[in-house]
Amino acid sequence: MRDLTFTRRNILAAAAAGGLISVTGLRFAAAQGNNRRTLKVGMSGFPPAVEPVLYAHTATRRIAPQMFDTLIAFDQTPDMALRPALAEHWERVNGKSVRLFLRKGVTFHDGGPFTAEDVAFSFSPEHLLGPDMAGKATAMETLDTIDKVDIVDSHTVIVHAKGDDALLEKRLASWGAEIVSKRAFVAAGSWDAWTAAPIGTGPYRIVSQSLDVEVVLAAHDGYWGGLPPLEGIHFRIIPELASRVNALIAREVDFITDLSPDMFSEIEKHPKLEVSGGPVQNIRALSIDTTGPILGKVGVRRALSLALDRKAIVQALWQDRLLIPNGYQLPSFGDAYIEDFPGLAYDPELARKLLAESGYKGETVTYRLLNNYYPNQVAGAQIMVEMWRAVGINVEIQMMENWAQIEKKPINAIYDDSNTATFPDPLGHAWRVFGSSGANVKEGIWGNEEYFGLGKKLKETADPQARRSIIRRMLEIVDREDPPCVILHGSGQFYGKRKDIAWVPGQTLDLNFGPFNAAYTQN
Amino acid sequence: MLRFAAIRILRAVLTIALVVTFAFLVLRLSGDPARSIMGDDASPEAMAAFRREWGLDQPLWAQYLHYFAAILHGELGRSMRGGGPALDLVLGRIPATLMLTLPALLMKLAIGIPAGIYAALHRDSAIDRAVMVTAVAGYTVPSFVLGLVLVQVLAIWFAWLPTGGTGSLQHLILPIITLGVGGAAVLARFVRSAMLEVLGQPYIRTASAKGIPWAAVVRGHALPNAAIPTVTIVGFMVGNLIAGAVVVESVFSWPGLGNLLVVSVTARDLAVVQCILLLVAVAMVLSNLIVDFLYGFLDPRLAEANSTGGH
Repeated sequence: MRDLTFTRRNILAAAAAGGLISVTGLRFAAAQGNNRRTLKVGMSGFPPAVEPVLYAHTATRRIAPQMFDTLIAFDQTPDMALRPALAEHWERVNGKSVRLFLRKGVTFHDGGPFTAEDVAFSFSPEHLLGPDMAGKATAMETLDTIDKVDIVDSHTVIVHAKGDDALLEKRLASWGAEIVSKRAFVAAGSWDAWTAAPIGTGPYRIVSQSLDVEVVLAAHDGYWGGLPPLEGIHFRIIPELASRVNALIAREVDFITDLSPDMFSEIEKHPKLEVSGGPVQNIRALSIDTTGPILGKVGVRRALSLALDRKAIVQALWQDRLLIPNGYQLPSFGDAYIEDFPGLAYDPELARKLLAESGYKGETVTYRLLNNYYPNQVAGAQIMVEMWRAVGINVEIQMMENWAQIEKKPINAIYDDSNTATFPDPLGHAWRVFGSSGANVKEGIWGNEEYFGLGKKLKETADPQARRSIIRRMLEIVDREDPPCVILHGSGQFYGKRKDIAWVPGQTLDLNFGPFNAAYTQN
Repeated sequence: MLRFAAIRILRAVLTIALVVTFAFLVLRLSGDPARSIMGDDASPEAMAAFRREWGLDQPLWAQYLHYFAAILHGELGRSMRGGGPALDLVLGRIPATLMLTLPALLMKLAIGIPAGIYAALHRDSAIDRAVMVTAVAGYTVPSFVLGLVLVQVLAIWFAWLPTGGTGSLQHLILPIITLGVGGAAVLARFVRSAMLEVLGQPYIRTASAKGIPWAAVVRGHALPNAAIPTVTIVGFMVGNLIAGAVVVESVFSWPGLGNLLVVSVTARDLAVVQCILLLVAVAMVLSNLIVDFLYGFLDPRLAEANSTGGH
């Protein structure tokens, strides 16, 4: 096997690629020239389709960033700053419109040119709403505010939102906003034919996919962002974690996904392997059905949160590798992040006081629990039950088989949930769950009119300072005044890899093995 | 004989109908394909569209009638994941599974039967004890444990074989051994028991007393009579050829029917799971049917007893 150490030829190739990129005004991306290798990735599941407009499935998100680009992209650093991608630059026209100047000379995997027509098609209902425009597509969750795309010329478009939308640029960088080739889509003739081999502009093109076996990609050497660092990527489906770890140790694969903390030491025993990854844009919480007589009391809900020593939990179960957020928000929200919002307190005394004030007399609180649907779920639940017992809350675990059982009415319980920020802003995160059409409201387990009003206002507000005061108030409602959940901690994505593979994890489920991975852009 | 066949075939059809109904109900009541396939982060609207597309928003009885009517027309539905016909997907995986299970069956027969016979003929000897200890160990160690131990030793420590996947004959060795060891152990124990029972019968003593050489007694009297319980267990193994490698295929990431079943159950890909279960039920029922007819062939008294309702 060839490794990724730099040789004179590599450096020359990298310099050539760097020259090419500097001509186009892009950041430097290192490339490996002719000495590239095929990366073998052991992945836990097969994607339902590698068309990101349809699915936000974990397996889809592992592969999609290799094949597609968005107009604007997140830089995947903890700040999740925006960077140019297929749009070289952009400017606000007004509160609800953005003019984007598209990169020239970009080609799709089939050699076809990228133009404004492709942008208009990618954001059209024909594409965004999925097969038969039936709405079986996840992209609409973030892109439903887009009204239309006006084509100014072959490389200039104006994207219009339905109303004022301060987050339009972030939406254009989010999941589902990837640009596809209109010509190739039309030529495919059907969604089935299209999803078998979709065409994007990304650094790798699809070669083949075999259900539950593998997805094979090859470098798209005409990539606008520089020569892709790998000759190809072979995603091999290995559902069992132990088998993935074995394949990594035996050097049959170079990289594995979905590593659980109990396997970290197994990987770290081997001097040439390492654990990579860390916190991602996701918060793990316990949803609460607030309609019942016990959990309807704010004091009981707050006590459930105050009784938890999250530091101890994260240290014991996650080797201290997860974030404990301050409120239902993430630092990557930029201007929308309220950095001075108080952290999640561990205060057993206050918990007892609130319980007493609420008239709680040791009634049973039911905890509907799935068997490790989330990593460490059962162990975490057992620890929390003891922490709750210590302050006098009587929580009883009920094991459930599936989500249908968890959500069976009447719920009158707490249960685990996780929520990804589809773009870094409360509207792409907390609002998706607690908003007026969010999941908890649809379940009928929580509602707060003030919160709904604030969210509506937030959608229409562009001024950062005004937004911050709205967001602060929304955080207070979720944290203290009418908690719909008990925030546990951030989520993490962990990987096992060979140490000599240059790769830096991002802030989401996405894997990025292209020239824009920080391993190359930071060198 | 005709009545015997008719009863067996009717029973087989009823068994298949029951399996189909049971699978339908359990799958519909035990999980939501929309959440599994669309992903946790899918919007409620996208999930609702998914349920509409696949008829999951219809009442259960309407879904059942639709499903059963489709089966009678030879339609087994489409995969919610791949979109293609479930039957094509399932049939496409059978060759891969047979690549493991057929050699494993041969291994079971080649090791289990001679070992069982030898142990019975040398009862209470050191070899008998050794065979039985090995058989009990092979029988009791779960296949996923054996598979992982074999991987640890042969693939990781010695790097002689791959840990899993496909692509060469070497990839077949560990899964076949893992599958074969347990079955050989089961067969050895069955054959030994059957042989010991036959060897204790008066007609064996009589044959020996008549001066027939022991080898001829074993060949002519013991082995044919010990065949009936052995045929039962071999019939079960044959019935398991297409679905008997679920765990092993998962451990070795082998893209066969067992792997497809696990993935499809996890994703609640209803049509595919139902199609596999239907196929497995048909295979099991058919192998049982063949075993029943073989009973009649090996011992015509059994067919006679069954056709007249006797025992």
